[in-house]
Amino acid sequence: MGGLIEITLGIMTAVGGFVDVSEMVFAAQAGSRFIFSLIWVFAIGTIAMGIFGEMSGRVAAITKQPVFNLMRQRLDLGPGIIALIGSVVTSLITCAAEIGGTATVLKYLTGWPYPLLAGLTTLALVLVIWALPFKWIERLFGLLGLLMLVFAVSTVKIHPDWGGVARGFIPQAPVTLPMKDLVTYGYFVVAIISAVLFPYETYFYSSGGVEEEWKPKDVTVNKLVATVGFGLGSLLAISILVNAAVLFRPVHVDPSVIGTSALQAAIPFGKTGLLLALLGMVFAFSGAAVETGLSSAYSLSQFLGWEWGRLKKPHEAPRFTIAWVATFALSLVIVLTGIQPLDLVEWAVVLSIVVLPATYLPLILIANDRKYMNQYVNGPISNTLGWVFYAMICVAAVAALPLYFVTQGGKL
Amino acid sequence: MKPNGALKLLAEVRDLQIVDKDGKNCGICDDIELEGAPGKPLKIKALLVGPGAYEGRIPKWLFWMVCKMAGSRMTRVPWSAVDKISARIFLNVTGEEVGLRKVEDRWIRKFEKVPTS
Amino acid sequence: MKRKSLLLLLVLCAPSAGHAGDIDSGKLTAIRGIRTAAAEAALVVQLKQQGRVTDTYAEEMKDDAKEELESLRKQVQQKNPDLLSITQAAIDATGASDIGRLRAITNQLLAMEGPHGRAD
Repeated sequence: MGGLIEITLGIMTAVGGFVDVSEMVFAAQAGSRFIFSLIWVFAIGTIAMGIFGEMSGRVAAITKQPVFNLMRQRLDLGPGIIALIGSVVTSLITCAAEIGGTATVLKYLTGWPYPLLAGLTTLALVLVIWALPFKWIERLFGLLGLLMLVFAVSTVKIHPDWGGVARGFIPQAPVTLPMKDLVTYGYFVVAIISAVLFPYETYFYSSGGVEEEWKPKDVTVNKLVATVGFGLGSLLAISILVNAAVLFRPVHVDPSVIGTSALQAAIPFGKTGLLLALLGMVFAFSGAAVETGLSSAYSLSQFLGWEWGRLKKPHEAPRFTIAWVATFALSLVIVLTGIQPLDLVEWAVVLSIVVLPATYLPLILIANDRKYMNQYVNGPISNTLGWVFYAMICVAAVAALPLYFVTQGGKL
Repeated sequence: MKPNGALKLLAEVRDLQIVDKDGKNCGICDDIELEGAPGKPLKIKALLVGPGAYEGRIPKWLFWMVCKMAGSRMTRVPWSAVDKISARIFLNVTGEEVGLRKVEDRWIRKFEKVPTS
Repeated sequence: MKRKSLLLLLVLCAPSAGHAGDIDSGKLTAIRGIRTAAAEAALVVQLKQQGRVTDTYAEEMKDDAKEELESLRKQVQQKNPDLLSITQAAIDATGASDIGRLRAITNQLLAMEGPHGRAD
């Protein structure tokens, strides 16, 4: 019974924590610009995330090592340092985007000044991480993030063209579009893959597995949480896309402001829906800020061999503590410079996809290595899909920067 | 794997996490010091830990950057202190006994003065 | 001489032939930005009048839309001054919560986007 509760909580946490500010922004814009034709990218990205997430959890359970230890061993020191710098920078920018997103949503709830809310958000997150046990942190934000399910309920309420939604799961390229729009469509494909496969999620997930001392018997639970949890979370992101296609497109809105997406719940459910959506966004975005802030510290500590872990008291892992506190402080500084959260989201997404190949290559290699994994080595399906998705990530990584500049960050 | 067996030095020793006999992390094996002569078997003399050990493994410009940020200290851990090697290098001594964990322990003492930490 | 003149004519025509009937990328981005900000403002004002959003939310969203439009006005002032008057009209309509005017501006800008208006 206890195991079933653990699995259920794990899945719910994965669902509530799936959508962050970047997925929300890109899902809403994808729906209003391209109707249902980008649903398949969320689906494929989620399958890839499930494969890599399961691999990272399995590697953590069997080797007792998190991703960044493996990265250094497999990439060697020089490329490892470059990957570390890339990872820390993208985590920092992403953390800033999530803090900015949270403060923006709090502004819509309270009307208080944005800089004050950014400061209070950062302080609250630092205190929560300092004071609460690791499992409570995960559960708090993951479960409260389930308020985002109001978006899924809205989807049912607004009666979309379900046939069109289903057809959106088929990989497609709308070749009848003018060239400019086709290039922008290509940018959205790359951006959505990046938003779904954000590297910080893998660092956080595998570090948690090592901290909680997962064992081989936990491999099955890991598989369930990774596949079912991420799958259901992805449906939430897709519901935001569908809502945008049905509600925003006819009135010519391509969400340029974070708060616009909350209207997806306000239109069918009024003020109650709006408040549920805004609160859900607060917890989803701040949960993502916690993950990115900690993953930055995990990356540094694991690469350099420091003591690390949220299960340790701050004084038992001092440099790790300094690293995550510094990440939040620097993120707040970035937010207070006045850079718009949406701009931070764009940069986070583009830089993350460039770093992704370095993140997932060591993972696939170790997960395939019988010397490390014994009988828990990749099966033929995991292996094949892993390499196929890795090739997809490499193509996206090469295309990301040119597409970003040509489409002016998807605004073309 | 015990340290008196044959090892693939680069793949199986370098860049592994070092853990002391109390289970505490003591840095990463950043390089290894060998001894031997032409025609004789190579033996590991010591593990090298610290940014100073990066020299020779990374381009000069990157080593310069690393030293600017983290200094160039290096600690030699004698091979006799190694108990076994698996996914990590386990020592048969405490980190402090072989000169490791100096920075970590200094920060631990500072943090112990902070309330609720 | 005749051959050289023909070559020069072809070279001069080539860039404009490639872009014939298509809008400049920078201008398209600006038009799209103004259009969506105006449309967002209109939607928020409409929902406020229907009592489906809180006053705080509506005021903050209007402020954000105005800020976005002010930023776009600075951009178009330098690069696309022909869009200046419509941007200012959108700012004024947002401040006055004039749904009719905002929707008219949105439709006008959508028409200017031409074939890029909606990806169907």
